[in-house]
Amino acid sequence: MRNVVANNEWLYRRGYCSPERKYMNPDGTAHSRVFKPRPIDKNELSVDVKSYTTAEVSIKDKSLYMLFELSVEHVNEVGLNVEHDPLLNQYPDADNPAHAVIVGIMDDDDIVPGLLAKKSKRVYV
Amino acid sequence: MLDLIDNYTAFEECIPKSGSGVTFSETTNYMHGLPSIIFQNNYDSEFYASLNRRAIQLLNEFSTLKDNWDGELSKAPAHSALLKAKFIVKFLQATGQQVFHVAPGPRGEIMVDIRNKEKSIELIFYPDKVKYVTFSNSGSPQQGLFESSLFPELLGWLNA
Repeated sequence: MRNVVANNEWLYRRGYCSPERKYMNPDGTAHSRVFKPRPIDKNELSVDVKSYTTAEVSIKDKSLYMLFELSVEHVNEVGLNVEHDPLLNQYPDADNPAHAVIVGIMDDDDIVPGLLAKKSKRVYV
Repeated sequence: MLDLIDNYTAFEECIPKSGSGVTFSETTNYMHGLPSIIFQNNYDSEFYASLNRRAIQLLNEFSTLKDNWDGELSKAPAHSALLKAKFIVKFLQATGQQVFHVAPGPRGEIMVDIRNKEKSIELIFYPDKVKYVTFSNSGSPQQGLFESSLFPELLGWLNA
């Protein structure tokens, strides 16, 4: 049973930026592909709830990824919900009590990923 | 030049406003439904050659990515998506339209982001389709399937 994440919470989402950091927007902001789910995600986008983790833990490898934060309020504004989905005892050394998912990004929707990217802000780790 | 051949349609809306003198015409559907271009070579070629150099370099790098290139199980960029994206970026370069950024996506797609002040257009080249998304501060975002015939209108909207 998942719990809905309250709209006063903040989320972390990481995006691959390559070792040279050139895959992200030239101004350091996130592009829409950072918020586009994969087909195997079944319309759910993985994020971390900020209050359950730290930026250093969430980014995992700051040489390869950039970290962005986004308010649940902004996610709700585009008509989506966030559900807390802690990953516990599923993968060795991969427990993530902060894990959550943004639910309902449809496969053919390329507006929402762009809106979420524009609402996000980079977190310097 | 615009009336060179009857069957050629000029995209006057796309001619740079900088006075560089570039004109171009759509000829036939050359590659995957995108127009090919004939150029009048009386512009600052050095400026135009460098305008989208970064984007073209990135697209070349994306062609070397394999599945799971981001450690998140994303698919490698599709060859067809890369070809189309590169064509569009070069097309835009020839018209003096700077590309803000290009990026690979998790489904093998390539996104080309074109911006002008508070407006932006994303062209998203999926393996099986091409989409456009428009964003602006003054209206709701729009998305649809991209066809080359829409390009003058989209660029006109962006640069209005």
